Amino acid sequence: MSSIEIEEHVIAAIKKNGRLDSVPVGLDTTFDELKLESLAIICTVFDLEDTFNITIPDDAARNMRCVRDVVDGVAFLIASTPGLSVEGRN
Amino acid sequence: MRRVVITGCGIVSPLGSDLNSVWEHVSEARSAVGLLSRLKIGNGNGHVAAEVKDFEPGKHFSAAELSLMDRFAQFAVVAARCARLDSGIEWTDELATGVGVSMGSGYGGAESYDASYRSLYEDKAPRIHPLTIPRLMHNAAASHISMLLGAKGPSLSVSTACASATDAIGSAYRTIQHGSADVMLAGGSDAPLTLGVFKCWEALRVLASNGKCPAEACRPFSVDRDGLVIGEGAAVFVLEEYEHARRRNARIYAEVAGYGSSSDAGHITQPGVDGPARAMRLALKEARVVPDEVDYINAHGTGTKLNDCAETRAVHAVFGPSAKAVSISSTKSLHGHMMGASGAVELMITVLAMQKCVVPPTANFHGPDPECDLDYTPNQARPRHIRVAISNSFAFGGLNAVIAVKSL
Repeated sequence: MSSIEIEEHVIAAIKKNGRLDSVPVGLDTTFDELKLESLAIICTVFDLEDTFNITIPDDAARNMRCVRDVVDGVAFLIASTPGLSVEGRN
Repeated sequence: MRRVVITGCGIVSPLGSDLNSVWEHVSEARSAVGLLSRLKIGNGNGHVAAEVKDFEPGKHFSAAELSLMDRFAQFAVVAARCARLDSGIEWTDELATGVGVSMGSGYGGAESYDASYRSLYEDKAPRIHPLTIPRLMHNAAASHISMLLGAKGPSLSVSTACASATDAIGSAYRTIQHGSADVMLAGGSDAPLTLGVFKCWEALRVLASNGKCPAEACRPFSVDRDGLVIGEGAAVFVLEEYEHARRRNARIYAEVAGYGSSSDAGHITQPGVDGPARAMRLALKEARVVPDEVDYINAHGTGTKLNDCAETRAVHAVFGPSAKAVSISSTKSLHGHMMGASGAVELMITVLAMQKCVVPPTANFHGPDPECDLDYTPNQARPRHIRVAISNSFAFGGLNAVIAVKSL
């Protein structure tokens, strides 16, 4: 999966869980700028784990500060999970 | 000690979700028990329940709110909003610290437990949705009421099985009596119609048999009774300090005059006689009334063989020679056993009965049991001026709660 596709999924998950339909979100947008509360962040993490069939460790989830952190982290986990299809379990 | 009155009533129930339709069902002895439709159990045939049928969550809550709320919390908030509207009470942010919440629930977010465990065990999902804990916690009902209605005073949730709502109301009454709050939103809520909870009850072999006529499945005190029927819903009162209510010219339904609480310290499921009798005596003593002054008892009356006999003996023990003169009924014959909401729904029906001067009937009464020899108001409502009434709730585990109300 290309990083652009991952980015699209990540941004969609953030917008859904932060209820940010009309807010512009880019790679360098930070969670603070979006006023994303912790519950929205963990729901986003849950959705991404589900979509990509990966497990995001607690410390990685806690250290995410911006969209790029999430996209890079997800790309790394996909690359290091053997036999993972692009579509994940969906 | 400060006096406490009921100034608002809100309900979400199998009998309807407004006071008029609830009273119509009750006064006409129209049962809301029917074939279970919310879930399929086994081959799906013939299970009975008292379901809330007219509830559309999307009409009451945004998608964001719903993502956080189990069905039992949704019921609770809707009932609380209706109660506040009914009481006409409003509070500023400053006065909100004097408004608390006290809610009973036997099961908390049963649907959320069930759905999450099903996904884990059956679907083999690797993880549970992060909002599962906020949805299933027992205090979610009290929390959502406090958040959505802006109540910032003392709040708690009570879980004493079938006595939960009555204990929650008793506790709210004490909170106002002692001056920790002027207003309490108090009641109970449960939504236990899940496969898991239903099968647990089935295993205890206390559920009413399917029967040929579902509406008559719950037959408290009747010679042919054979068990309880599970129901769901919520009822919430606005309880208010008497002078506070008078200052704003509030309509007063009744005074909460006494609360009795006791433990059998006996058997985990078998009901006692002494414990319930002590709870009734304590409620009457606090209300400063003698048994002769009590016109109506809304019985716990589950419709099981054991409960109804034990409760009858307890009434005899407390009321002595006046036992036969007091009107008794079990409205569970109409709305089923709404578990942690039962006590609130039954107290609400009790105060409506006081307003209307009509004793609610015990529906589906097909004949007297020699061990149940009191006046259960069989099948038909009856006119009677009700000066004092008590509402009984006796929980598995031998925890008993009784509220006494007086007309003003």
